[in-house]
Amino acid sequence: MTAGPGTGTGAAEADAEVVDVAVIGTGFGGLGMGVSLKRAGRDSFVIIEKADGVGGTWRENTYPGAACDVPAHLYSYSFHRYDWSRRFPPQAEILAYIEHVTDHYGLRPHLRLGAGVASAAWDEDSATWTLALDGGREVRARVVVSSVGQLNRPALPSIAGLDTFAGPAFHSAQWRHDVALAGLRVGVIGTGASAIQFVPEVAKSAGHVTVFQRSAPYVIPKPDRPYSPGERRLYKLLPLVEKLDRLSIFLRGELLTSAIDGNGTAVKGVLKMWKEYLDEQVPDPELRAKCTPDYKIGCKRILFTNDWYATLQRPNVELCTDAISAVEPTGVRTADGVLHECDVLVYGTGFAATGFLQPMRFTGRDGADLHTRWADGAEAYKGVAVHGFPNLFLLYGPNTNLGGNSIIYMLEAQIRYVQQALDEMHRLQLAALEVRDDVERDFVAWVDATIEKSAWQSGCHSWYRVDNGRNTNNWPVLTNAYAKAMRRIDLLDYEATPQRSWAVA
Amino acid sequence: MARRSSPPKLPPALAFAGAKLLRRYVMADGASFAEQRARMQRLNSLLPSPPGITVRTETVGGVSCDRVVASGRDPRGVAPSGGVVLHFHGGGYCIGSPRFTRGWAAAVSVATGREVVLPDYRLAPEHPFPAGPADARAVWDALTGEGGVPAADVCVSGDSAGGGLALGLAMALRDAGRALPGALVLLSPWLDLSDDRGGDPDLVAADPVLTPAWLTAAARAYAGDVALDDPRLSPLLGDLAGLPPMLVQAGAVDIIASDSVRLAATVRAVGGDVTLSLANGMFHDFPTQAGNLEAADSAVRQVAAFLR
Ligand SMILES: Cc1cc2nc3c(=O)[nH]c(=O)nc-3n(C[C@H](O)[C@H](O)[C@H](O)COP(=O)(O)OP(=O)(O)OC[C@H]3O[C@@H](n4cnc5c(N)ncnc54)[C@H](O)[C@@H]3O)c2cc1C
Repeated sequence: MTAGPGTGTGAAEADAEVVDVAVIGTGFGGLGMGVSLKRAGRDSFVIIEKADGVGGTWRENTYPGAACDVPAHLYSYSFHRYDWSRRFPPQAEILAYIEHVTDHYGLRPHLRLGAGVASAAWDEDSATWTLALDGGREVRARVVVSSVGQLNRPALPSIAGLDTFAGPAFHSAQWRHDVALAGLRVGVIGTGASAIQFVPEVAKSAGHVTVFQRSAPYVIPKPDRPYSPGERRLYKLLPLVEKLDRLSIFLRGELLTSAIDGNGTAVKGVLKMWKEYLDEQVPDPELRAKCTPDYKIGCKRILFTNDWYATLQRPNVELCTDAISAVEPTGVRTADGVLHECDVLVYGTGFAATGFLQPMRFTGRDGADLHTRWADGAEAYKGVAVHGFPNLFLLYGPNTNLGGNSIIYMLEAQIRYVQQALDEMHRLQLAALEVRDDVERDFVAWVDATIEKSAWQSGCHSWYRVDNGRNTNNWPVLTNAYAKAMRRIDLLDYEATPQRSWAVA
Repeated sequence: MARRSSPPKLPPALAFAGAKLLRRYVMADGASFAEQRARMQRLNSLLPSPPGITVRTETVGGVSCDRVVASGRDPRGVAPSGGVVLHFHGGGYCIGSPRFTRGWAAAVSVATGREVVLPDYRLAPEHPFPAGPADARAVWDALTGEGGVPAADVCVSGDSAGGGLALGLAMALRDAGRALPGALVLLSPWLDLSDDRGGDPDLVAADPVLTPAWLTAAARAYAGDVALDDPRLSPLLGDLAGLPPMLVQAGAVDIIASDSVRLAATVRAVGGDVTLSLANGMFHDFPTQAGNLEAADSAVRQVAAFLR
């Protein structure tokens, strides 16, 4: 590599691993970046992962019923097709796909598992990042690609007495498979995307399930089904058929996105779909009222499932909409004074999604601290680059989450963009790229102004927003517009540092 | 992504084609520099003057200058700042005129509130070195002399050969122990006249604006008897320490883009303050197309942010 880190490999740093690119995280993002680097013939890279295995979201979320809610024909890498068993495959199958991709592209030798990145510091003189890993190891790299996801750190509810609970209590992303729930009284806090997947499974064997709901989700049917052997053969033999399916899923996703963005006709369509489904599934007016959201559709994530409303009507399931006042050793007390006794508590309370890149510390140019920079909420140019932090690229960064389409599609657009940045740096013999301050500001101003018109900002409390109300997570317009904006990197958006060798002696 | 509403821009591919056509027209039939100058003047006279500015032609230090000021009626305009941008146009020291960079001057004045002064300095081969630098110095002295603008409020800038004049002026002021301009802005600057530019055939083929032969001819016409690697002609080969903060912009599809990169690397190496932006898909002197090309508008926004 012509542009490898140059100077200053002193004896003290002798045990630092020196590479061209350090990727952080082995979810769809980090591994996809690895595939891209491999394909470009750039072998000097590592993928650092705090966990002991690959998969990210799909390694961690092993709760019963875990599955994707975008059909796998789209929710998979465009460059690697797979023989999926059903339209919305379960977690185990998605993880197997990720493991398979890791092997297929020869990524194993590049993996550094079992120790996370604690901090990273930019050295202006050598134009390199030094990453400090938990446990003391160091990696030095010219470029860092952070791919730590938006939904990697579980969020626990802030309820008084949470740690006084006597029985097992755990978050859905840290499922305790050693706790047999059969016959037990299970309390579930939260009714988000995870809860609506695991509650129906848990209810099948639990003695009693109490679901504590703060606000009802909009739920629409999920057209899931297994693929027949014939269909699987067809997809295998005729990639075009799968491609067309991919496209049609994408376009439906765009329609849903346009509803959230404020397209009135699409909103009416989705609202009608939900209302008809609710009316058909829930005859009891009281339960129906409890299942009716108190916010504008699209403000929070719209959920896809076929068994949520049916599950709530099982004799062993109770939907509790009273506010929780405290957790006690034997159960959950609600504001009306009732103690709901439970043997086990499960938190379906989602993730600390606005805490981008936490708890890592990044120290950029002139000692700038990333999280200080982001005190009013995370922001990045096109979700990938931050002024003051040269040669740091983010995947699934600020304002690149979607409400209605595949995150892998976004990740691939970002990976192509970062690959172009690397290629251009190589071609033009540049040591560093740092996004221009004015370019980042203009972009963020556009995001903030545009997103205000969307349903996300219509007044509800959601995991997309920080305390000051800014939406730090979502992409504000159509998914396709993002791909377009990312198609070709414009180096004019960046300040470039030439390699030293350019200097006139 | 939609930018604030503005007139439609040229697609880059069309701009490349246009640049090539322009080159063919200006340089056709082995025209002399005088003839090339006349052809460019003819083309320029066809262009409408950019809106939102007033232009006065005045003599400053004995040199005729176009003084461009945002008229303040433009809604995007910012309040007058009192600062000045002294900009030297490009053209290989042999062709070009203030009219040639009026679009850029207008955009910069609108975006910064500064007046932009465009000297009509003497050109080779009629007036070889040191006529150009002498005119540049005369304008500077008059502009910043008794009762004039404080040196620190002047940004000296230039495109292409004008970039060489701008950098050379700053170096000469430094060497004379005089007050330095507050900032330097160099657009696709031509800083090393001794380099024959034939090194990368792919780049030579791709460059829609410059050819090695034309640059060589211009360099010879300008240098007269002085060696091409004399730092007064090729400031890149001189001492680059102790200069004001500088912003360097260049398109990468340009056989002299390497001057910008070498400049940035060298200034950094001697501890100077330099910001380089290299537009990967752009051609020589693209920022002068402000108003017509999105990349040029972006470059002007960077200048405005740099001068803030
Ligand atoms: C239950 C669930 C279902 C989902 N379903 C869908 C869906 O159907 N469709 C969709 O588009 N999206 C879905 N998502 C979103 C999903 O997160 C993304 O689609 C995608 O998997 C994100 O991949 P990633 O690589 O960006 O991040 P992740 O998969 O979150 O991977 C991040 C990795 O970084 C590692 N890491 C974090 N910090 C450090 C550190 N300091 N040092 C080293 N390693 C670190 C983590 O351990 C993890 O392995 C779902 C999310 C969840 C939680």
